[in-house]
Order: sequence, then structure tokens, then C-alpha cells
Amino acid sequence: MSELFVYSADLHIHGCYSGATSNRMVISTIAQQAKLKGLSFIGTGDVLHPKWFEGIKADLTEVAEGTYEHPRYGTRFVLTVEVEDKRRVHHLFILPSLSAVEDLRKDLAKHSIDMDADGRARVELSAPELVETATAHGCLIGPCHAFTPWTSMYKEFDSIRACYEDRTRDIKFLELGLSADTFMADRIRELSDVTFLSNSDAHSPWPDKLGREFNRFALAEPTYEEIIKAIERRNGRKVVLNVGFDPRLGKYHRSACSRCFKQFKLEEAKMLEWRCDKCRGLIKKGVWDRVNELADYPEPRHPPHRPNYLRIAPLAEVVALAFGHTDAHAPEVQDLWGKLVNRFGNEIAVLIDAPIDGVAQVAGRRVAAMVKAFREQQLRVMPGGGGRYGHLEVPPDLVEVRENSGQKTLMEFG
Amino acid sequence: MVRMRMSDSKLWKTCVSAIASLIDEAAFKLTPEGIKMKAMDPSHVALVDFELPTAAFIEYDVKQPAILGVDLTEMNKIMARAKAEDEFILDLNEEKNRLILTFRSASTRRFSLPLVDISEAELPEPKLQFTATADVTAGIIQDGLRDAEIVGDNVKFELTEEGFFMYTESETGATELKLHKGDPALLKLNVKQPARAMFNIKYLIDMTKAVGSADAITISIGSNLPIQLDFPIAEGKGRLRFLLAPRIEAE
Repeated sequence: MSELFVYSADLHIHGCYSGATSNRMVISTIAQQAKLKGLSFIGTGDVLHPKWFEGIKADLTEVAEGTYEHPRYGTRFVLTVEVEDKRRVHHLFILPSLSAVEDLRKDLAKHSIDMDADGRARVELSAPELVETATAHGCLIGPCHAFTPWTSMYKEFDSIRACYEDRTRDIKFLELGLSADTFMADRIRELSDVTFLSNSDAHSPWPDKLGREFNRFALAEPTYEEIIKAIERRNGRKVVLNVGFDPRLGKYHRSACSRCFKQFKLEEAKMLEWRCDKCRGLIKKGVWDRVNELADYPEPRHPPHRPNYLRIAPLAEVVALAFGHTDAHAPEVQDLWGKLVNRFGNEIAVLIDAPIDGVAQVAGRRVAAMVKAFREQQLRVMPGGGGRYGHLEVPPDLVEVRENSGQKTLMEFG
Repeated sequence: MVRMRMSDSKLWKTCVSAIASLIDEAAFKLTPEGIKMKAMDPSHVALVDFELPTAAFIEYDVKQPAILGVDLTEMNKIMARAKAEDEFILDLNEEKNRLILTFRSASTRRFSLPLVDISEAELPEPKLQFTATADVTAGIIQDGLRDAEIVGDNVKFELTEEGFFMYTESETGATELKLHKGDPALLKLNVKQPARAMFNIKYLIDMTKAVGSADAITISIGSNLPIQLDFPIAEGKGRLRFLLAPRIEAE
């Protein structure tokens, strides 16, 4: 077997032509930021959108079949798109070539009225019909953010079979989404043979969004063909690590009101008939509760092929916390993020591997203390729900972190 | 029914801007007597205590006490769109659980802001025996902080019978600001015991955004105690107070 190397990839993002995305979500910025993040591969997203597709052809060079490279930053891209079916379930397509994009587009356009309007195409086809169309054009397809309450497979169906019917055997991967991880999904028996992907679904290119979840693939070379082999677990190619949010940081982890974000236990929500008792807003079922409903096992049972799942938080948020900010985009936070990533190569190296003394030399003792607290799981995770992200907090009893920096807290004067 | 009307948007805009630089969300408590808000930043280093009585409004209609959970980041973005001369109106749409912010001058502009659920946080009630206070013209402090920011992250405040002093020192240099008793910008000085403490500059810059350069800031300190900054708002009818925990110097 060929020698394998590890490459990091985020296969689900959206470009600037999708709804609610940053106008900075353009190919060159994505390629540049991906490099800083330590990602070798990005999924282009939105490849069925004509303008985005033209941009891909103009800005990237084909280096192998289905594999495109940014000439300046060296970031590689594979062709991907998220498509919404007639039951409002989202599916991720990974496409083999530019000609396949054009052919798929022609077929899906017959069933869509807005393919030119939004990068995230909506088509009046069922999930099995989409799989049939996808496979006819050599695409790989699987459910996006499979447990979330608005547009996922499990919000609509109780099983993968119910969703994809007789085309279930063609589903080789499932995207976990920010609010779930391997430990949750492996409580469901029917997913034991499916490869899990952890992708960002980023709408902006900044480091707390792009690559906030990614996969590490073992490949012989960084190409589309090798990525497909890895997802299908052929010839020793495979996903060797899923890296993603602590699922509690996801915005649909707990059941919560989608208007005022008040969180509810499942029984409470049912009793209230899914209407918030405070503002009458709609309560959306959290991924945590949905997985509990679907689970066959009380504890996860990982199949032998399942890679480890590394729970992370965006480094910018950890740095922000050290300054008492909650804004990960604050200039001083971005400045220190840049210094740390330049020094240690990428964000994961800083969060997981870099010596704490080294972090302190670059970003000061306070940031180093916060990275250490993150590694030791001392930061409190306040879970998200109803569409609001969870966040990290410094527990009041983490006094030593503050003492290291000389900064007192008001709690010490109570 | 909740409705609050102010003759201009400036006061609300500057207060929200200063508060939003410290905290993302806040619970405003409304009573027939006025509006109050007290919150701590996520790292428990700073506390803001805000109070506006009915006298600060040209119209204030709150029949029943209410708590409004507000995403301050979003409110700050909206307030950034207000012009100085705009009359400012806050209404609550109870049915939709939203605040309606209206700016009225040449045209009438409306923004709608969903309320958020905010869990009641336990706030410390620091017992602080300040030993020195001074009223200082805000512009002097703002300039001193901008000077200090050039060379360091922290600034020392010192109050003695001789006056008010700010010092910053780092490997890259040093700055100092001196106001002696009798200097016009040192409006009042009351020192029971000289005091000195060090604070993070960035927090202080964010806090002092809320005050005009000609206004007075009342500074209260004790050695190695938190600093208390009081700003006069709404011609002294309201209160905007910040507490900031000190940094302790390494021996």
C-alpha cells in the first residue's frame, strides 16, 4: 500500500451568494484563511450557483481530477454543494468534475425555481430522488448537520432508512453538525457503518468560523479521488480524526425557544406543546434530546473504524476569554490569534500541543493560563440552544488563572 | 405597556456603547420609578451599575415592573445608526417579545430587537472602604489613558493630599500624568488616607467612553482595592457606575 499522509479538510462552507453569509466569503480570502487555520482542503460549497461556479473556474487551477488549487496560497478545493430537498432536509454533494457540476445543474434546475438566486439550492425532489440524481453524475451524497431541528434528516425522519429508502446503501457519510459529536451519534445503531464528517458550515472566513470543525484524512496524495476513497474507507484511506466543537457550544444543542432562547427539558417542552411559556416563541428540539430519542444504547458503541473525536473551541474565543471579552473578532484578540498561529503553525497546535510556556512567550501569561484551563477542561461550557451558540465561561473558582496574571476578580472583594 | 421617550438619542447611545464593550447581554429592570441594570463582565473583573429615573425621560410609561433581556451587541449596532438630534423612543411589543427602537427627526426610523432570556446571575456586592476620592475632568483621564496605552497594558492610579497621579511603566517606556491640588481639572479632592492601585487600561478606556470630555468623573480608590468610577448622566439625575478589580503588582 502507498505511504499515507494526513491532510485536514473542511468540506462544507458557503460562499457569498448564499443567504446570511459574509461578503468576504470569496475564494481568495477562504484560501488564505484556510492556510492560517492549517487546512489543506476546503469544499467549495455552492458550486451550483452560476456566479460562484464562474469564480471557482477563474480563481483556481485544476491539479488533478476533481481537485483545484489556489495558485497563491496552495489551498486545495473539492467541488461541493448543499442542496435542500422537498422535505427541507439538507444534503451535501461532493462532485467529481466541472462537467459533472454542469450536468447535475441541468438536471436539478428542472426541479428548482431559485438555483440562480441562492448558493444553497432548493429542489422539489425527495431524498431518494436526490441520491439517484447524485449517483448518476458520480457524486457522493450524505445528510448535512444530521440532527439539527430546522433542516436535517433526523428532524424529519426517525431513521436513515426512512429518509433515503432504497437508496440508503449509497449513503457513505453523515455530517455531525456543530451540536453533535461521535460520542452522541454512536449511540445510534444504524450509523455504525457510516463515516462521520465534521465540517464547519461556515458563513464567514474568520478563524472562529472557517474550519471550526474539520476532518483529518489519511491519503496517499491530496486529491479528490483520495478523499472519496477515505470517506468510503477503501485501500486503507480513511478519516483518522474528527475535530469539532464541544457539542454543547453548538447553537442547537439543548431544546430552547427560538425567539428568547430560554432552555427547556424535553418533558417541559412537550408539556408546553413546544411553545415558550415566556414569550410564546417556538421551542426547537435540541440535538441532545433528539439523540436521546433515537439512541439504541445508553453509552456510545464505537465501531472499530471510528476515529477519535477531538473536542475543541475556537482559539479566538479562548484568547478573548483571557481578556474578559466575549468578542472573538476584537482587534487585540485577532492580533494575538495571528501571532500564536504564526508561531505554532496552526490553531490546533496552539490549542492542543504547544508548550504553555511557549504560548506565554507569544501571547502573555493570561492567554497561556486560559489555554491551559481549556486543555484541563476547567472552562465552564454554557450550552447553546434555539439558535444561539453556547459559550465558554471562566468559573469563579478558577482563581489561580487570574492570580497568575495578577488580575483580581470582583468576587475576591465580596 | 412600556414606553420610554427621550428628547435625544445621545445619552442612551453613549451608555449602551460603554456597557456593550464590557458585556454582551443585560437584564434591564423596569419599574414605575425608572430603569436599572447591574451586570458583571464574563471574567468577573468589571461591574456596571446603571440607573435612570423617570425624570431622565420626557415620557415614561411603565405600569408594571418588567425585566427586559437585551442583546447589547445588537442594540449597540442599532444605536450606532442614531443621529444626535434624533428623538429616541423605546417601546415593548409584549406579544412578539420585542423591543421597538424609534429614531425621529426629519424621518421616523424603526428597528425591532428580539428580547433574549437571561438567567439571573449572582452578583457580588463588594464591601469596599475607599480611602480617597477625586472629581476629575473626564478629558484629562481619557488623554492619560490614551498616553498610557502607548507603553503598557496597566496603569497605576494614585491619590494623595498633593493631588491625583497616573503612571504606566513597561519595558518599552513610561508615562505619567500629574494633577496637583488647585489645578483647574482637579475639581475635588478628598483623601482620608493616600491610596494607590493598578488597573487594566483597556477596561478603563471602554468605561470612559460613556462620558463627555468636559464632564467630571468621580474616582474612588483604596490601596489594592477595585476602582469605582461614577459618571454624571442625565444632568445628575441618573447613575452610571463602573467597578473594576485591580491588578496586583508582582513583588
